[in-house]
Amino acid sequence: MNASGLSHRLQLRFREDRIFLVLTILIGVLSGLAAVLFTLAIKSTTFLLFGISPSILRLVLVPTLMSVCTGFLLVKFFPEAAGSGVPQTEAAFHLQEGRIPLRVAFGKFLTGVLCIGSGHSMGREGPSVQIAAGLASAIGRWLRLSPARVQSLIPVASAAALSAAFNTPIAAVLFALEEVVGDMNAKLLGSTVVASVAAVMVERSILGNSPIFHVPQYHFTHPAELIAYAGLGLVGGLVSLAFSRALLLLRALFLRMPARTRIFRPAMGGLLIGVLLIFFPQVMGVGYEYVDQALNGGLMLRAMFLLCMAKMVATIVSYSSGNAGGIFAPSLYLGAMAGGTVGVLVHHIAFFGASDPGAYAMVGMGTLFAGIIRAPMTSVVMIFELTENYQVLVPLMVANMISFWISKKYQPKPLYHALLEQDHVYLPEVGARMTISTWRAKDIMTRSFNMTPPDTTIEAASAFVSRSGEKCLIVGNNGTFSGLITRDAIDTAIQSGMTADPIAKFMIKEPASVYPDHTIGIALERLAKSPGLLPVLTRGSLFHVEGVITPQTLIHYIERNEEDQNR
Amino acid sequence: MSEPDTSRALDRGVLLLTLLVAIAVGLFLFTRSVALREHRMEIRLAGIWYNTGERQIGAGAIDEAIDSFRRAIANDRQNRKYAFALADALAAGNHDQEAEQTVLRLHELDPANAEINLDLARLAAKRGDFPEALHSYENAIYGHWTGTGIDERQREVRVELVRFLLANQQRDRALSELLILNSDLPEAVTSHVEAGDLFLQAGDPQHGLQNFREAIKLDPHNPPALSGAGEASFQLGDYSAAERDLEASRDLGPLPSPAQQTLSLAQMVLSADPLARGIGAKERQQRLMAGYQQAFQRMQDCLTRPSIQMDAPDMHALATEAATTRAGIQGKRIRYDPDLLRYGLDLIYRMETTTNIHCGEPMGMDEALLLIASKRDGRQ
Repeated sequence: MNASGLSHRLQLRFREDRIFLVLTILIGVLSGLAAVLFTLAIKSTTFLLFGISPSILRLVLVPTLMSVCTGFLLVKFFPEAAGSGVPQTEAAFHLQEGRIPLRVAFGKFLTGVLCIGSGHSMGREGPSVQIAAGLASAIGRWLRLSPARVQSLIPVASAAALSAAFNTPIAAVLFALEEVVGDMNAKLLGSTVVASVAAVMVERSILGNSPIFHVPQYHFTHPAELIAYAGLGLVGGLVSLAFSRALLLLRALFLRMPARTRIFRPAMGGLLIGVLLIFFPQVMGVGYEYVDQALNGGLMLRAMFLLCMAKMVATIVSYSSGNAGGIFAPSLYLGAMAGGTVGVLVHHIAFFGASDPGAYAMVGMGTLFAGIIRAPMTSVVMIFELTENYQVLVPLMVANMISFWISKKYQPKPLYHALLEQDHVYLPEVGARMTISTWRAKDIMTRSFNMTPPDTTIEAASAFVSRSGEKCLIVGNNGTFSGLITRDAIDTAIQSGMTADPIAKFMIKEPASVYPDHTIGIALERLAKSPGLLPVLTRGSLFHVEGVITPQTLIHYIERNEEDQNR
Repeated sequence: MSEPDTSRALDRGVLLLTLLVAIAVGLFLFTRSVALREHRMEIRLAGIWYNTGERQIGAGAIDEAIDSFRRAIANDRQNRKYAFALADALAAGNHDQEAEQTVLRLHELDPANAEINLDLARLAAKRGDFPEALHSYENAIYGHWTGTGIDERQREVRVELVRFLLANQQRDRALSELLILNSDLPEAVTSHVEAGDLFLQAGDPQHGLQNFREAIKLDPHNPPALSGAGEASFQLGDYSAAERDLEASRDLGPLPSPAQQTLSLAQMVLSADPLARGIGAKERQQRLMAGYQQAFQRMQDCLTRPSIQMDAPDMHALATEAATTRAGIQGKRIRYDPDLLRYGLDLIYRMETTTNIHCGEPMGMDEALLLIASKRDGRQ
């Protein structure tokens, strides 16, 4: 390639990067708008269907009849739109190179609005994530981006949607990386941050800058209180476990019903929800206003306990019967009620000056989130973002850790993954994803290689490759790297009668190479461009070869790693 | 893909991105208009819930009102009126902690707001947190007021602060606040009467009387002003003025029981004072003798109590002194000897006060005698 060609390609590459940056911002804006519109549509629908003070008949009929309608839509037109949206987005990211049909995004919007707006106890965050991911995927394909680029838009859109739906931009980024990608070190960090910020700006410019909850001032009053928070972690873990198990169990029962009942399953759930709403109208929809009351000491012990139980039943019924809506918000609701209940009890029995029950409700939100969603880092940052208070971190981490541990110990499969597996979709384990993405060139390379001096004749080199069977040789002296020479180049030189010439004359002087800390992704990309041998050079000295990577070394490393994991 | 193809693809990308930007702008405007419509609906709903809550408060259904105000706030968080209403309803329903949380949230948003500080002060006062209540009352008085009638509302808060200070036995601080209040009182009967009452409670009858007089000037037939002036005059030792004002008030309507007692006492003082102007020497002696006998009899009664008999050498000494000087007081010399008259009054005073120490506060004529003696002796 000549200099002008290289310059042109660099320019194109630069333009492509800039276009991707603009696209990232645009995806953030569109995802934010979609999430805001989704929230507004749910509110309007709720008001339209229930009015100000609904009668008992209305409370029963609205969710039942609307679920008949959504059941039809979900079975006939949008089968992928049922459920939360987060596991489906994960599946699209990991298994379908980020391909989500635009129809899914539209269907999710429509059915989500109808389900949540008609009183089903479900959250809007999960559907927002799927809607935004669907939009991003469609745009990416419309722009004819590479599959890798389309795939990378999924977490970008997920972060943006969550950022706009829940108004916590940092936690949204973490959620996208921790839950959707499953790798906190993903190189998508920059894009997700940009999109998340763009989305939250859009959301705030439309809905104003008021926080989603009015969070009371948190004060950590006494070190002994950590015991109480550990107790909250225990309760949170058990509630998470009960919720996850019961949800999976009831969903399995629904799935075992004859196929012809599919269309009516959401309506069955709707009828149950309608009856429940007569006694507990507080569990209707997202229910953040009651979370707010729990955070601010507005609910009594009995009320919080009963609402925790009722919300659990309502969410399990709504979700398992095949309606469209998420479990993000219900997990926070359950956490606030469970935490508030523990807080009031601690207040009554503690020998130390305990914090307000609202503080426990707040920590409880993170605790249940960590237990149910299994995104402990997101939960810590999310609560920190809501409170803007450092003091909450230690109690939160204590409670989260215990809840997460209990939940993981007795329900090893994360809920989102277990839900997908009920639909016969199997995601790669988070551990496996993390392992492969953390492999480095130094792990894969072999230090055992031969170096051929540059003054070696073509004849001698030919004899060596014939003996060893190698397709490529490293040219250099005493560990000092000069280049590579391929078998083809040697054969060409022999055919040209230059057998006495030194190999330096025919070698590739600046071949593709990597540094020891380069990821497997970079190594594979460069190995593909190399003649089958990739030198690993020291960062301190560009002419020193530490090792080499070949397809064989890679296979050996994968085999070794698999053996280690099996062991 | 060849370089020209790649370049064309990028140009197409730029074009499509431009189109997407246009779509985003359109969607933004649409979403914004939907949000505004939604917001207006929420504002309307909030108003409906607020009015419902107000009606429920009026009907005494506090818990239902709390629920309604909460719904109002859920629909319109920005309207502080709803938060205030909720806080008041919570306080009325004795959910003080939650009421305080509600007000504290408002306080975080607007720490200088006078009404928020006033609510905080009331809640602190209710839970007995004196320093916090005082701090919040001061923040309220000097805080940021909005709306009309600011001076009047500020005065009301200062009056509330004075009452709070008096209830917490902080008379000096109450008096300082009252003096500030006094300098800025409007020309209104109720304001002067209120200030006069507070001055009396704070132990400053002089300023109290001034205020009652101002009120009487504005409305000469105002019973509370007249009885207040009577009470203040009585505390200042001007029993004639006290009698006059209290009688004037009684003529306009029945006196409250304490004012009635004050009037009786003032009348007793006036009828029993041996040094009163305009009475003859004989009347003077008779009054002194009557007083002497009253005080002596009370002391004797006190001395007969079993617990006092052995344990009051001062009373025994005073009884002896009184018995020995009795003849001198009864004699005609006292009509022309002012020193003897003063001695007689002093004796009455000492008998009453010593009896007070051992047998409790006097009532009726004994109280009147004590007032006369202490006044004439310059002890009051």
